Amino acid sequence: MSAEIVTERHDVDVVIIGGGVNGTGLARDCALRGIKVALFERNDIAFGASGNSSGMIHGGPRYLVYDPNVTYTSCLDSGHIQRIAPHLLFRIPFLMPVHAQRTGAKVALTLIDAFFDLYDKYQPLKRGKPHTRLTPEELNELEPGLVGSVVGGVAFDEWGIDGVRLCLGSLVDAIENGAEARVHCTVTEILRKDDGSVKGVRWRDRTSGETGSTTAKIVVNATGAWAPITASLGGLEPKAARLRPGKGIHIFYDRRLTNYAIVARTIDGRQIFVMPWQNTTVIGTTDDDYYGDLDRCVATADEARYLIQAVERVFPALKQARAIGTWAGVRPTLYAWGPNEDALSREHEVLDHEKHGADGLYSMIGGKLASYRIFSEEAADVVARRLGNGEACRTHTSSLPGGDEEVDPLSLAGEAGLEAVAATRLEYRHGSRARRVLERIHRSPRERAVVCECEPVLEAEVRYVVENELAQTVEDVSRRTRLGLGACGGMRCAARCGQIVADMTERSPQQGQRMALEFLESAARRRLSIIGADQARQEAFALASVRSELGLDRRFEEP
Amino acid sequence: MRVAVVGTGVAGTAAAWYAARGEGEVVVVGSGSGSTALYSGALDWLPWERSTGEERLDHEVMAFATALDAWTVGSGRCRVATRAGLARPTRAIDTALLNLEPLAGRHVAVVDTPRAGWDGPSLAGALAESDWARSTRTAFVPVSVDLCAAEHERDIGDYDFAALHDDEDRLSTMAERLRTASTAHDAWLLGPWLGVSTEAAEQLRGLLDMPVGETTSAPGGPAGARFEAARDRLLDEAGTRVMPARVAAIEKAANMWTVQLENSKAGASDLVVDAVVLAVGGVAAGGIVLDEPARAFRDGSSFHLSLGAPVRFEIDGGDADASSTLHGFDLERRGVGALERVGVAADHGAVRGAERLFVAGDVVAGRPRTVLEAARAGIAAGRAVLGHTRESIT
Ligand SMILES: Cc1cc2nc3c(=O)[nH]c(=O)nc-3n(C[C@H](O)[C@H](O)[C@H](O)COP(=O)(O)OP(=O)(O)OC[C@H]3O[C@@H](n4cnc5c(N)ncnc54)[C@H](O)[C@@H]3O)c2cc1C
Ligand SMILES: Cc1cc2nc3c(=O)[nH]c(=O)nc-3n(C[C@H](O)[C@H](O)[C@H](O)COP(=O)(O)OP(=O)(O)OC[C@H]3O[C@@H](n4cnc5c(N)ncnc54)[C@H](O)[C@@H]3O)c2cc1C
Repeated sequence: MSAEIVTERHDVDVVIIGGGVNGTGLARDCALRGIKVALFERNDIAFGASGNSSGMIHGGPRYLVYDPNVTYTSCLDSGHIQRIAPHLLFRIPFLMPVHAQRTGAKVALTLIDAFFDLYDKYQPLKRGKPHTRLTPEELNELEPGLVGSVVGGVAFDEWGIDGVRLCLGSLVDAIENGAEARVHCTVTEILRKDDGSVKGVRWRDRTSGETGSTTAKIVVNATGAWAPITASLGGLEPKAARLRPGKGIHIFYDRRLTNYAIVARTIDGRQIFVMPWQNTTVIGTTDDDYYGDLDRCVATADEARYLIQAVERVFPALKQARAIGTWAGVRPTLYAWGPNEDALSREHEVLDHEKHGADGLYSMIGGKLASYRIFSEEAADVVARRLGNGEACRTHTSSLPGGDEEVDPLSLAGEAGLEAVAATRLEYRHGSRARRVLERIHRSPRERAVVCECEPVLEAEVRYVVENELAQTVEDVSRRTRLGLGACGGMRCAARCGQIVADMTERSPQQGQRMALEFLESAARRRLSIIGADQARQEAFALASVRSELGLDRRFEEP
Repeated sequence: MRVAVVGTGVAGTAAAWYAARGEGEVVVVGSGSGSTALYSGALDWLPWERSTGEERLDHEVMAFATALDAWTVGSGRCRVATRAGLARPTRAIDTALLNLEPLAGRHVAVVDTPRAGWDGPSLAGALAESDWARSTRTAFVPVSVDLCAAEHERDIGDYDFAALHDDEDRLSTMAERLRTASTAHDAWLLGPWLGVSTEAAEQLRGLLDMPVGETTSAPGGPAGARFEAARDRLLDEAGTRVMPARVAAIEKAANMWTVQLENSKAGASDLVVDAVVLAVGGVAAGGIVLDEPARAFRDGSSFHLSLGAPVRFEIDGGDADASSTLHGFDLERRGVGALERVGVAADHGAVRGAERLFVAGDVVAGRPRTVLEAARAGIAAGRAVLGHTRESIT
């Protein structure tokens, strides 16, 4: 029996199902240890929770009371992430006002202050600054837009990251170290031998319809909130990979309203925030059990209202801005009984399904963006041990693509004759690899053309992400570059982007047009819940424009 | 007899043009850009995806197009190249656009010029692979020619670039460069760069002695500007009075309509008229406004016009307010397309429940959002106004 295993041939050592932060993190870790990996992603990289989170690489002060362990691992790993991908991180100064109408507000402030004293101990792990306690006057000076009488507050420090770029960084590095990856390719079955142990997966390419199978010694289910469904693809009970699906939404606005992120409380006592993000403002988030279609998860009007009302209570300036988009994701929270979703643990676990009769099958359940690297390392240790691979983990010392060297966006702008904003955004997304994007312009000056004015995104970057980051559709390009997410809803850039993607992927111009329409339709669907008077005009205008240029299909006209 | 037309898009223009045949005075009040001022230059009757492009047009619509002197409305279908690379049918066109229909089976050169946002080779490729080009064996070939006289012209917008070619010398230079670049084809397809007045394209055709024309315009391109220039000429010739103002409200008093102007300057007082045509555009033009939830809750309405007027809104044949929830109009359920289907409830252009109040164009419920429909509706409103006012006079 064991002799057979030794001589058996496999396509790869490990198949990883899921291209979120955990799947891509594991792929990278394995690849760096010389383990042969194939990763399958049903939709696109970071399509799930990883591309739709709040993007905070925080130690999660709110977890401190429930679970200091989460805070410690998060802070420690935040330090590592800063080392390997400095370009992707940005400092977010937070303000937490304590409102006077709360009973015992003064006491509360003292407790919060003491609480942050405790949090300060973790801050050095992530190069964070210690908190400061603020008087009402100081608060007002820092953020005049805050209303309501306060007894004071605290200012503390967190880091933000673009979750999509993080996943891509891991995956691109994995690929450069020998991993294979397929996107828009879903695993349809986890193949098992007669004795129950895994022997690989069967998959189907959702674009071409091509099917096939890939054999492996180990299969890791890293499908986040999809994990129970994935488990059932291997004939397991869904509850073998049980988790609590907690849906959260964010809304973004057309302008920057504050320089600080502000923490507020909802009527039912949950914590929410307003945060500046580049030239926009983001508010988030909610946390509700979700049992809908994970492939079509969007913010509903009910959820949007709940969030907007809560934020407007402390920060009425929000009313002056125009909501232009939403994103929604489902947290794969470790299963636990609890009355309030927020109290659930964010800790993670590598589940060994041997106990369910499926030797060689593992599930990565739970986790956070902030602790993805540690979680991946733990899972890679399990994989490596089983394969008899003794290589050490290198994911905390070796840089992610673009994180090896600091580049000055302004000198980039000067060299390539770009506008400063364009260069800054490009450098943010690609770090030192922004140079590779610009090399394209040297070779073909035409690619300097701005495809999306709002972000802005250059033609060279569109082509670069198709060539190097597995983008296959307009929507994929948008996820990687934020193309088409401005107030115009992609009306001015989707068609052009579709032309370029079709050209790069050897598809017909008609397919490029169809891709553009698919993007426009799905982007419109994500805005439907937040359309106010001004945005309604923009939406109707975009409909007319898109019809004229591309033609509308029925999906636009009917809900 | 006095008539006020509110809105200076194609619907308002057509209504005023028609009503000016009467004996009374026609005043057109409008300001700001609506859909017509920002449109593509393709003139559809039905939304083009559902149309053959061969629909018969009312002879008055043809007469209006002729009078406007900026459009080409033939008896059959036209075909335009969109910037997204479609060779699509349309019923008629802004004269500056290239009509592809008669070029079936021919050789069309697509200008490949270094301007930001213009990719000649990729456009030519997309057009060449379109179903129409394949089935008619029409060739689209990129031909390299630099139409910019200075480096900075590569980055200016289409409108500004088009405006340069209202200058005759510039236009001859363009003709010269095109002629030098190639003569081995049957027509030239250019971007929307042929002037913001109406003649440049025609002149260029004369200079080159072959079909030359534009693709469709992006929003804010020269097609809308050319409409506005033609409209101003037409209304001037028709002898209507044009007031560049916004209307705050209309009210009926003593069997007359009072048209109240917004922050009317000293001198500009309210108008008192027999009949009113509202041609204020749809949601896209700001003529119809989606109510914020608070207002919807307070007033029990989910839409209002950009001016106060006694109208009701309809969608899909039912009352729009009936589709509202406590939080306003239920877009989530109706879909974003609802923003085009909603409009003022009217029977053949006459506002339901109001006398001598008419609507035309995008503001009307359940009608296609197209240029020729707006023109047709404007003419119908003009005719109705004349009928009614004649009655009230005799
Ligand atoms: C609203 C919200 C806010 C959050 N905020 C933060 C925060 O501020 N900081 C933080 O650290 N964490 C945050 N999180 C948590 C964090 O985003 C998630 O824990 C983490 O991204 C989970 O990653 P994952 O890789 O396990 O799952 P996912 O990112 O969901 O990835 C799973 C992937 O599997 C794919 N898949 C599913 N089925 C198949 C199949 N059969 N074959 C192939 N592929 C398949 C899916 O398409 C998906 O892309 C937040 C989460 C949410 C939802
Ligand atoms: C980007 C775009 C592309 C399009 N492409 C095509 C196409 O290819 N083919 C096609 O057939 N159709 C197209 N259309 C649709 C077409 O343009 C419209 O259906 C048509 O122009 C509507 O004309 P209208 O006169 O009803 O309204 P509009 O042209 O919108 O005119 C309304 C006018 O009323 C004015 N107004 C509003 N409120 C007031 C007030 N209170 N006081 C005074 N004035 C007021 C506005 O400022 C505006 O000038 C397109 C539209 C857009 C936006």
